[in-house]
Amino acid sequence: MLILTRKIGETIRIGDDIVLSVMEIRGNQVRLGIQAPRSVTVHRQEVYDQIQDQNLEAAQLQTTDKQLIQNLWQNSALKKANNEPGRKPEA
Amino acid sequence: MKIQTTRFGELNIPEDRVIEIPDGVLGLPDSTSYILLEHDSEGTPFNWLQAVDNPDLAFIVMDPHLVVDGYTVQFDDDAVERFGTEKADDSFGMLAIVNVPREDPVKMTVNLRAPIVVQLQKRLGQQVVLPDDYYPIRHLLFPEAGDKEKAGKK
Repeated sequence: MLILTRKIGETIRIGDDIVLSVMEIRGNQVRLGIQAPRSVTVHRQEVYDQIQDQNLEAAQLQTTDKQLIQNLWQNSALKKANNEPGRKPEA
Repeated sequence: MKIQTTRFGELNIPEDRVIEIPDGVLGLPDSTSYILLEHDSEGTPFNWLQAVDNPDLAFIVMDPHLVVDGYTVQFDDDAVERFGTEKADDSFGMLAIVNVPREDPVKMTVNLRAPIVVQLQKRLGQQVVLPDDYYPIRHLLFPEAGDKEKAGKK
């Protein structure tokens, strides 16, 4: 891994069209500015990982899972139709 | 055209209904052609988004507007250009991926943070990751389901 030291206001250029700027340093937090072409998607790593995990998990579902969802949906629609007051989960 | 699926066997699908998702969905970049299967929704908003090129790959999806009133995805100019349209209009459809946790199935969730946005004329799609704090990745579909024990199990 390439490791570079930069000060506030200084930048790093990656390839021809990606610029990474150090905007602010506050305690153990660093604010970064990223300029990149639209073909490059930028995500926080943990958000990217979470969405990827959700996608991979969701891809495992079977028709029985769908049936379960549909049953719950129909029950809850029925409840609303009957004007039953919604139960609030207790703390 | 005929496609193979593990869940539904061989299907004959109209070619002009295929949705191209050039980048795939996050974590599954290899499958880029999908078809929306609406055959078994039974009056509910849940459909399968089946990969055309991978028999095993399918997601349960739904329209996120049915979960949150006024659900909106902000399109910037870049995003509009990426989809190849002149302006953001009503010709976009949205599909949110539904998930069912193995350990507690009633706590099923829908991913409102990363909907698959489909340009309907070109049938061109992309999983768009919305900025933080807009909508959750795991939005409970049935918040009241956690209350089930009090309501009495069958």
